[in-house]
Amino acid sequence: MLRTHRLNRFVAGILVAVPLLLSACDKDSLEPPTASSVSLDARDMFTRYVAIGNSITAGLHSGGINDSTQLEAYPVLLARQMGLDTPDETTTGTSEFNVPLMAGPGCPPPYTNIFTQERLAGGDATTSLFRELPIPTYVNNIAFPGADLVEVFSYYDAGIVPSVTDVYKTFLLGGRTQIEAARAMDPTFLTVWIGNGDMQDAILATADPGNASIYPTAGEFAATYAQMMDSIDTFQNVEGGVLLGVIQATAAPYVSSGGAYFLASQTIPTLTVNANCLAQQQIPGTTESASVLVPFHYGAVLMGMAGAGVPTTLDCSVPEVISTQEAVDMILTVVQYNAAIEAEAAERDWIYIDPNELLQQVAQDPTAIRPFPAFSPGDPQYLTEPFGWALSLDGLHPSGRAHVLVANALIEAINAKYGAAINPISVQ
Amino acid sequence: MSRLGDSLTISLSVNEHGSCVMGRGGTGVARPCSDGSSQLFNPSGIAGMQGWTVSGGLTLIAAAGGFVDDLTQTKDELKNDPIPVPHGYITYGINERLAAGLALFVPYGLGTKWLDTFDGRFLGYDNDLQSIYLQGTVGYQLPKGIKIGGGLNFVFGSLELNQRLDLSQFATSTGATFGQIGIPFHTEFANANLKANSGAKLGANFGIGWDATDWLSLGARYITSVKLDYEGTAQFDAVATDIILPPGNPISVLLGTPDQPMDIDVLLAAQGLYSAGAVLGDQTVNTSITMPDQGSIGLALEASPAVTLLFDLQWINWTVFDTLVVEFENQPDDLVLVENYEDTYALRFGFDWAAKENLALRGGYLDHAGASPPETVTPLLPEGSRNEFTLGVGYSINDMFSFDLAYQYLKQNDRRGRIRDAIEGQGPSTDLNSGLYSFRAHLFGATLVLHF
Repeated sequence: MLRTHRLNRFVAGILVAVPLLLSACDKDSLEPPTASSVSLDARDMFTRYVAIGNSITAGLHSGGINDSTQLEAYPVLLARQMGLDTPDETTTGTSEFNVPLMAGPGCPPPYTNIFTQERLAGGDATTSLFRELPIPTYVNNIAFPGADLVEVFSYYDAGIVPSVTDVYKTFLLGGRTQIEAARAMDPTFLTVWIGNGDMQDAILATADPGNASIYPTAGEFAATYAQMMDSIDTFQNVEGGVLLGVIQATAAPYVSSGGAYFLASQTIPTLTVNANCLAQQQIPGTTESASVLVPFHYGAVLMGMAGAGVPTTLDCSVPEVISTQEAVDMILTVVQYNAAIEAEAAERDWIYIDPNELLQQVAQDPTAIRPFPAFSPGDPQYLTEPFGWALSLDGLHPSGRAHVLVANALIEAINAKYGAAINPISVQ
Repeated sequence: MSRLGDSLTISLSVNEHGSCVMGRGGTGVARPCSDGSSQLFNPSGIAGMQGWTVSGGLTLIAAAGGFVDDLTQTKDELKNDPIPVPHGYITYGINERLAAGLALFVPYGLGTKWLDTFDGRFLGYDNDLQSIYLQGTVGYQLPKGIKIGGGLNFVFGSLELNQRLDLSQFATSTGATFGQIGIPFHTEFANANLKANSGAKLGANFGIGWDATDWLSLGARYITSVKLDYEGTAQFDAVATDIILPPGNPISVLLGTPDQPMDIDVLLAAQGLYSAGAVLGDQTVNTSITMPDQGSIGLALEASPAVTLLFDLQWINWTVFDTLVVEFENQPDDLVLVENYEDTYALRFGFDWAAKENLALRGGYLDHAGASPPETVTPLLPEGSRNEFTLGVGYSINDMFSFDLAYQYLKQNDRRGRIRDAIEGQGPSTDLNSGLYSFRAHLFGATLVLHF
């Protein structure tokens, strides 16, 4: 009997203990960034997506950059479609794809009227409220406006020309180069869209646009690009990437053909366009021709004067206008740039995308990329999209709608190459 | 300034103050061990002890663990050296009913050490906190198997904390932070070392035990909270950022030299940040931390003449640790940290088997909840719910000498946590958790007991 009682006590003790042994086993788990909208086979590739580039990639619109324009940039759209968490107005700095967001109306605020140079919230070209708080713990979109190719990995190259956009090297990257910032992220996937700035400088120059000394030779560009890719090759965990080619700056609506000005002069009595503005030159190896090109910053002044009733003449022999030979040289150089980029992509079995093919498709719609800006207040696109709906108010950088097209082009190429099954963004 | 002080968080309650109790899962409220440790586990337990009992020992805590980052999935390992935790007890049976004693134990403490390259170093990378309890105890045997006891605790505390300061959180002369002009998050520029001690404060420990039958004993004890006021020094030393901002940076622009690079270390050195009276000059620091009150209830079942089964339920009032206010001599505002700790409960099970007349074998298991809520799990103490298993042995060499040995394995459930400060102006949030902490420890206890 005594033995039975003791046994019961022992059993009772065990019964008390069992629930203890079954409890306290709930474990938390690691929560890496997950490209949840991507096929399982490709998901790990997009864990740490990093975007290298310049103003387009950074999200500069209409001559300005702020959190809204930055969040409309194609890398953010692409990351979102991948299923990565992206920042919004209530961000705590811990999204899965982070952007160094600029505070307030912008740095500087985007134009609201390109003709009057008015900017958002009454700001001007010097307005800056610095970065938004809290700053993110890491940054995926490491592009900065004004980045030339060499500036992806060096800020002290002898060929670097000081620019007001140099401030972004600090604002967006804290003095790190894009290669240094990318290395800190240990990327698994990269998009690289760089080189546009190198050629874009040739149409923004006020003294002698188109001059070949402004942009690197094809050989210099290829060597520098290879150097950049060699740096990227040192990253340990890259599983794939996309290299985008350089846009033909001569096709940007920021420059218009002399012929377009000639046509405009037919309805503006005070504007005279000399016959040398109608010159064209065949582009070697193609059936296409290059025109004399008038940069917006030069042509807009003349159009303003003529519109004000002041007799004005556009003479296309002046250095402020891009000659047909200069235009041909620029076009052929970009072709060579892109051949070099494509070769670098092929060497790594990465994707290469020629953005000019996309632009040519978009340009089929004359309201998308206008051959001549909407200088007339009576034009329905005058205030909102004077260069066409695909361009922002500066005539150089894509609009939000165009960024969607770029993102979709990337999605199509990534899906085809990597079987990623990323859903494209619906286009209205 | 950067938010020095988040690492003042404490939580780890240490219960291993006697290898006999340790070997049986920390159970000791209803049936204390005879080594004098009942002064801690239930002061009533010393009632009825005969003659002198002197015991002393050490528990060596070998902790290991790490943090795996969600993003990079790289692991940083905890680099703790084994931490010795002492205990010592003296009791004297004044007569058959009355006994008195003196006890030394360290019921709250922590030590965490990470490499100073760990990203969590901005919350603390080399930290040590101890609260030493010196207790005078009296126990008395009442009729009908009831014992009561109590003691006064003289409590002393000390702490040392090291952390890096984050330049991105530091204000520039424009009012914007360095982070707002682009300096990356977690850019170290200074090391903060904080050392402080508290004066003695008084607390108490009460206990009651009841031998309800010849096979069932019940017990309970309660230790009061003690608020320790720490006073010490904070010393700051520069750490090179090695950042040179390229030409065109906003600082050079402000200085009228836009085409010149800006060496951040030169800029900081020119500010006199570390001179006497300056923001990061050596300065006094004050804070208060309350060591929480705790209570336990337990029962002991004599399953056979040789085997005793023991169960304890322990509660610790960690809710007293909701906010922490730190005063720095050279800072205009106090640092207020929200911790929101929660009460913890530990369920303990143990057995004590008198295998031979002079040999006892012991074992146990305990399930302990975590005090820190999900939003305040940090590198200082990556604390959480844990399971622990114990083994022990007691051996009597002769009537005068005996010793106890114990081993305990602590396995904490992996826990998500953060390696960054809460965002200025906001409370701590699980949104800031960015990885997974793991923690485990091997504990080795040895106690030598002398009866005479």
